[in-house]
Amino acid sequence: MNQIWLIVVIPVVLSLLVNEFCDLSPWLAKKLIPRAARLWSLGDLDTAEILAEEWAAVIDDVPGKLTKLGQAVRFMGGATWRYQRWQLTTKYTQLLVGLSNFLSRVISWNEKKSAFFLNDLAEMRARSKNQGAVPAPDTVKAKVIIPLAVQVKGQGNVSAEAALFHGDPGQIPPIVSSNGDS
Amino acid sequence: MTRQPERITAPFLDVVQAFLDAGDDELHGWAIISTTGRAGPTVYKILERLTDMGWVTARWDDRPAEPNKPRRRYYRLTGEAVPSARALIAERRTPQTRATLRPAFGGGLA
Repeated sequence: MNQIWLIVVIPVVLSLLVNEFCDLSPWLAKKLIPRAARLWSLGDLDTAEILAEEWAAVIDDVPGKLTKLGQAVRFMGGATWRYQRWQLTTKYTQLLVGLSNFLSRVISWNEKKSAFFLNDLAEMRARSKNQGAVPAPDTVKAKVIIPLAVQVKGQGNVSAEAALFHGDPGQIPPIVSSNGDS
Repeated sequence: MTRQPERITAPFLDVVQAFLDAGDDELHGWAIISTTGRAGPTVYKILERLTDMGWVTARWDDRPAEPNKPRRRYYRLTGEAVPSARALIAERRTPQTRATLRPAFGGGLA
């Protein structure tokens, strides 16, 4: 008795559900289309409006009920894929810009660090030459030394401290090589 | 002023072919989708490219809007683009070969 009841009820319920879903699918498709258009247009609201109406017309032209939903799902899938790719590209670009900023900071920090190291070295040499007296302030200045240090790095075999003691901050002193030739 | 396509794919050729087959007629979205057999997003991506290249112009359906019926948008190949489109199809489209299950003795083509 129970089995007969199931055999009668299940097909009726299933057919009702399928029928209801078929009637529901065009409505669902129309709900999906504006969302798909918004995703597709990547934030451009005017384009989204145009596409929403155009795609709604396409869905209207598609024959059948379930096929309308199928077409809307395809639009939604394509738009989601496009949006995700755009987001990924944007994030990737931001990451690259951030990385290049970080690297440039590291490089400039290293240059400054080597400049200050040369500054200390020069001060030590000056102290030893003046028998412990502090050298005159215009001979050792970080502002002058930083460009000098860069120049010294570029020149290769020169003595940095020799280059630092030419005093005048406005002029770049002649580079003196390590064996004493100017 | 029309530009040449940078990337030519099979769906791109299908859409261009559909426009050439339509002649002077305008095509709406579903007509292109059903003619080419390509997915909606694929067709619309190509339509965007063709519009950017200046090959295709679009206009809204000028019939009075019916209530609850969205307007269609019609596309047409511009006169300037027709020679380029024909040349492209002639260059890229080889004559269709049909796949067969029959064994191809002696090199295949009779």
